[in-house]
Amino acid sequence: MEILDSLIFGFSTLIGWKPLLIIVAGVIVGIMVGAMPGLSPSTGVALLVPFSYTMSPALAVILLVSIYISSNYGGSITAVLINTPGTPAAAATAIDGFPLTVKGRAGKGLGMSLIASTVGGIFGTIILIAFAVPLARLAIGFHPADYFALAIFGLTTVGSLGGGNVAKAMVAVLFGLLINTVGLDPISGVSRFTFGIDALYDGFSLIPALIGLFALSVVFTAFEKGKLSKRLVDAVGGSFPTLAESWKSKMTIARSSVLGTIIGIFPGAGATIASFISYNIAQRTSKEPETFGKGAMDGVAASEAANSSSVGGALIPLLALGIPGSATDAVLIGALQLHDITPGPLLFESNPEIVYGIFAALIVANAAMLVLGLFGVRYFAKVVEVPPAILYPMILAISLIGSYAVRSSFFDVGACFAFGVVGWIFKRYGYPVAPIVLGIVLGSLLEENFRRAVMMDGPLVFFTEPLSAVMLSVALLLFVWPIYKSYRARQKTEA
Amino acid sequence: MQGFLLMAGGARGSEGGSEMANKIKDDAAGAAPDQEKVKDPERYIGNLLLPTTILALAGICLVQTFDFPGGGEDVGPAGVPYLWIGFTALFCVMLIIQVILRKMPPDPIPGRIGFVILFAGWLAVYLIAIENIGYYVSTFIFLMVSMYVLTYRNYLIMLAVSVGWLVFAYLVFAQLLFIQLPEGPLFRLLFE
Repeated sequence: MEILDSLIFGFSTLIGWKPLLIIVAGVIVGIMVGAMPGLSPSTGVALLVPFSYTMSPALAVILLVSIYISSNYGGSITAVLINTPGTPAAAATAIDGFPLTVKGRAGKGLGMSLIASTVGGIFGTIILIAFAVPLARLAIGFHPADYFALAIFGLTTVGSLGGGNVAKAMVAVLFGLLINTVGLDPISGVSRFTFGIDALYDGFSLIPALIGLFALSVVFTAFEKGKLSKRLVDAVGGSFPTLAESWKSKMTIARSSVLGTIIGIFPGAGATIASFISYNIAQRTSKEPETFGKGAMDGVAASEAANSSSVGGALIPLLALGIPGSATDAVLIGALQLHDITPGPLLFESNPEIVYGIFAALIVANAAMLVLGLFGVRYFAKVVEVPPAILYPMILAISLIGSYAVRSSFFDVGACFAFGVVGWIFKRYGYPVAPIVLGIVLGSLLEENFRRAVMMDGPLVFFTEPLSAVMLSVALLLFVWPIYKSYRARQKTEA
Repeated sequence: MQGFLLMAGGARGSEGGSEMANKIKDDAAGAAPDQEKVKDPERYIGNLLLPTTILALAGICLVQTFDFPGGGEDVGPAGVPYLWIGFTALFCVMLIIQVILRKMPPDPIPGRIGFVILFAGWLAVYLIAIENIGYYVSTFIFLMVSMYVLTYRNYLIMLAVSVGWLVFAYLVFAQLLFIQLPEGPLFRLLFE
């Protein structure tokens, strides 16, 4: 009852045209930022911080939170339409979203992404409201071994991304993991695999790799196949998913929302890992796993519900303990401090209007995102009607400026180009590119926590920590089971 | 060994087993043409080269790790790379054996690879030009020439798209985000 009263109080801070206008503006900016490769949610929030200087603290937070939640959805728009994930978290969305576009069902992909994002976002918010404090306390008690096990659990996704050959998927993920080790060692500071090149000391940035592997490789593949006078798709198909189609994905959305929220609570885990893990679980539990990677609506739903719900999860340690769960949360903390607000347990008592204002703003921002998305879907989908002779050079221009924007570095632009070539070659020979991204994303989490855990409690800690032991066992089972099943199937066939 | 290789090569999702079984049945049904293909070693050069190249890269990384200092109490900076290099070598060798045993499809039929290499070269020229003549001029030329090469001929649209993109890039990146795109001498002459 106390929570309900507090929430009503939170909604009362949104009464008036100004807060609502700020939410709508924040959602529009967030969608645009998310859709632009190279601009992450953290960039979007940081970009708008200066605009919030003159606002009251409550309004400033409402604006920034609206951008945060909607930029996660925005990332899926370009992922679905042109296979260019606007945010790293949307990489898993592209796996099924883009095939939907190629089949002329771009509207279905965009629509499912919107519905799943909205439901996931609202679910994450509800969990945030109900369990912020106890969950945050639980999360900071996790041992590094648990984080390592979580990352290994994320790697089991590889089995479902292999496209029929697990060895190829494993080589791809290991290639990503090796790429991640380039640069200064996160613990000892030793330079690794830099070959005397200064730019490599900071390692490879994720965004140029992501853009190169997904976007540039599509352009190169299209160039190889020819038929450049032919449009990307024959029919745009801007129609939204029907109620029945949406309802079919209800379980996937619900499960992915739960997973996304839980993974979001782990500081440092984030939306990308949440998306890949949820995608993996969705495929493994699907009655039609063979449709994944070929335009499965459940694939889009799983990824989007998880990455949106992870926002609510990541805000839990931020609000309850003052610990940023993601890069965007770190920017948010900075913005809050600019307004003399210190996140943490005392915030609930000292500035309840901020805390409950955030809760209410998240719900209203999700609703605004749904309305604006519904309105925009048919227009977004028109992108693929652009003739390829215009679309492909534009994809290249957007990709290159997106890579440059991350660190204002030409090295990143060159890296994006190189990853584009790698992606094209990998795709030619049936190696999936998504595991490379997974390897780059999970590499640091795996290595840092592996070494910390060993330093703290020795190499057996992974089996003595209960949560770690359970997650590693499940991960092993998830990896071995499909291999065993295919072996059995083969034996039966031979018999 | 062969059984394990095939297992690794055949796994898909948790429900992948029945699909795999169907695939194996299909393969069996179409065995004759497949066997015709596998006799030609040239059809597997790419499939062989790719894991071999990655294996060689892993080897170079391994040699590099010998120069890393020890980790003392820690696993050390070479510990985790050793793991990745080891597994990479294992799976690359598995793929090479799959190729030798012809347990994977042959190389794809080459498309317009010459055009891809040419366009990649053009893209590389564009990247070099950005640093030398500036982002705006080089991007304008890149977009116009690329659209032309890709057989688009509506010059008005080409001009509108190129200029429109440059205006957008200038407003969003240079003005709003304060990301300094290389301007080059011509842009500076015109606008400063």
